[in-house]
Amino acid sequence: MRMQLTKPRSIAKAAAAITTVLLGGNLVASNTTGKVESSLLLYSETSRVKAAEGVLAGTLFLKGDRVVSAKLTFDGLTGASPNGATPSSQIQTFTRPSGNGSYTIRPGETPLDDTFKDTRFAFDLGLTQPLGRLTSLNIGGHFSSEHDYSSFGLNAGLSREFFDKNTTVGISGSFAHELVRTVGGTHVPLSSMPLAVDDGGGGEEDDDDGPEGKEKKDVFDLLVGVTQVLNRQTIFRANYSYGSVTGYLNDPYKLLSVVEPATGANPGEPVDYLYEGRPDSRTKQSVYGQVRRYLGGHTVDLSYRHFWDDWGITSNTVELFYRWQFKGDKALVPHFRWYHQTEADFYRAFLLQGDPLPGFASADYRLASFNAYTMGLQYSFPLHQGNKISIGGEYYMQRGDASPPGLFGSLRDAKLFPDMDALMFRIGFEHAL
Amino acid sequence: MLSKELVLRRSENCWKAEFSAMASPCELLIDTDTESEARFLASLALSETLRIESKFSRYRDDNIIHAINHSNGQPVELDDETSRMLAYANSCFQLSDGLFDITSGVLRKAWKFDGQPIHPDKELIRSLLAVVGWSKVALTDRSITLLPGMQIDLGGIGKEYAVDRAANLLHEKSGRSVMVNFGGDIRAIVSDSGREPWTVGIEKPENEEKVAGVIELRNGAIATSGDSRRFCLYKGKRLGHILDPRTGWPVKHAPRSVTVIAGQCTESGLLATLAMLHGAKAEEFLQAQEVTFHCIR
Repeated sequence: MRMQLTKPRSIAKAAAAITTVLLGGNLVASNTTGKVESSLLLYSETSRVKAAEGVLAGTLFLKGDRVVSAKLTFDGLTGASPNGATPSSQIQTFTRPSGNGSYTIRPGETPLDDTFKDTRFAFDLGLTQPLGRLTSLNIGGHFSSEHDYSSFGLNAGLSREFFDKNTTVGISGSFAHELVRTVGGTHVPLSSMPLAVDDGGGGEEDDDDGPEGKEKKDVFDLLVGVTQVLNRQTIFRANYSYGSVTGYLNDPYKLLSVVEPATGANPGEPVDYLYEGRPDSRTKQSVYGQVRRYLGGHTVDLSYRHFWDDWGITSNTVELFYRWQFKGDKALVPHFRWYHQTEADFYRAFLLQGDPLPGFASADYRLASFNAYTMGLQYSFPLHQGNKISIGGEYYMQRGDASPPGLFGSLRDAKLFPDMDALMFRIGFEHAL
Repeated sequence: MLSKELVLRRSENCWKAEFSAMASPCELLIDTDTESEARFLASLALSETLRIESKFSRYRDDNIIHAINHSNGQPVELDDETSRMLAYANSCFQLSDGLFDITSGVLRKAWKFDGQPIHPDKELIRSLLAVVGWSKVALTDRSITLLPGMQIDLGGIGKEYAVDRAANLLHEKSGRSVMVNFGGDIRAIVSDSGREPWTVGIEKPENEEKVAGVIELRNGAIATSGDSRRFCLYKGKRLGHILDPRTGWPVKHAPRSVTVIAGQCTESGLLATLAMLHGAKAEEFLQAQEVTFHCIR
């Protein structure tokens, strides 16, 4: 190894030779670069749903500025979810979604459907292809499948750069067709839940799905956006999106309680449970603005979204990321998000006995008015040769109006929108190809 | 403003990534239209640069250089990369007849190059010379043994090495044309003959804003040795900061700076340093090597 150089005719030649040895010889160029990313997410709502998600994603940068990406996602879900019925001072019995067997809820408790168990698999594929020096085209497709639901879709987008590439304008659209296989068959909206014929086993498990209904919906989305470099430190992005969904939009497992009115014998107590009924179309729009600014090595990223739809829901989201960059490519990223939405026009926590049935009604808490707060922290650090690890946690709090004014009877003590807290933990690994 | 974070900007025909490392502003130019690829490649080059910086910096107490410099006469086991670095330093020592010596750093204790008059402590220089001299070092493929009190410093190689490694990594990973520039030490690679060469603006030393000329580089490198701001005055004469490891004194009549264009940055850096060590004969040395160079006196 110890090289003895005797009387080199040219020191320059010798310098080139020993440098080549030091650098390990001439490297052969390859035509592809790529990375593989994998991550595991654990999600837990207090006494409700628990979920685990694994993601494996790959990106290949090919010659000619073509980028191919693929992603495989696998989710496992288990736990309980509110079925939409109000709490009662009596024991409540609900038919399982399959129609086989039943489950009971103790007095005063929020009715949770504990048959919530699912696995989901999804596959995404995308390709970006430049069309000349300033324009690029991206196309993609996805397929996802779970127990009672599957979706497949296509998307395409064009972006073009202007003004020395300081401005990027993009337009993209997507279409998806989704199939809902309603366990236990499709129920007529706002029809009564039939009482289960108990299988006698007290059935903890609900393995038999019973009759199956097949429903579908079509989802169309359009997005136009602009990204503008404001100066060396600041980038601004704005976009507008329009979405339309038509078809079967009900959640087949959500119920609504019909309760005795204040003048009844047992005011606030349920007398019937109806399956929910939603309109068969929804049009959504949103505007979004984001500013990202570099502050001497750190980055602050602030965004705002305003959303509205023809169901009467309006929402506002403010999100802030701060990226602290440390020596050695380590980074700490605290994150805060605030979300508020108004309730859908047809949201009803319950219906009153004797009142005429509304055209549409749902007690799904996701259509109610609520605030949500997310706080998160992520730490990432490099391993060697471009491999990177990130570890992060998030705490999510959802707060709605648990006891809106005008409640009566037994509903006065009930929590119609129970607080929901969730904890998320994510570990990710990035490997350079 | 530069930062430890990658800042990506669109340049006319490529993406430009900037960060700060090795006490220099660092710049990567990657001939791609895809931002995500540029970001991904740049992050690979950044982590490789930071890895080299932390591994070979003499200012850290957790790396192989610290272990060697505090080995107190005991052999220190070497990993492959450090072994290659030291074999390279050994070759440089042989090539330069002992002028290029990575053990000469301790001599800096006797000098201060802040442009002020100096009265060097000749006794101190003599005592420091006792722990200077690569020939006193026992090097094998697997280990190095220094005399107690000796120190090595790879500062004269590390930055150029990082430039070459980053450029090769970027090119090897992507097959694209790339240019790496760490504070004026540059390496360019053009992916195929159909591509345009990279152009490098050469700054005028007295006014850093003005561009003195433009050099086109296809596959090549530029490195500069010397720093016109680091000198001292002795008996009214200006002495540059390049120290002769044999005398312990600054090399007399060395140019203020030497810039060399060659194939690889490490090679250019070595030739520039050797030219400086040749003092008054720097230009003569470089002419004999038939390389493109620029000396400032």
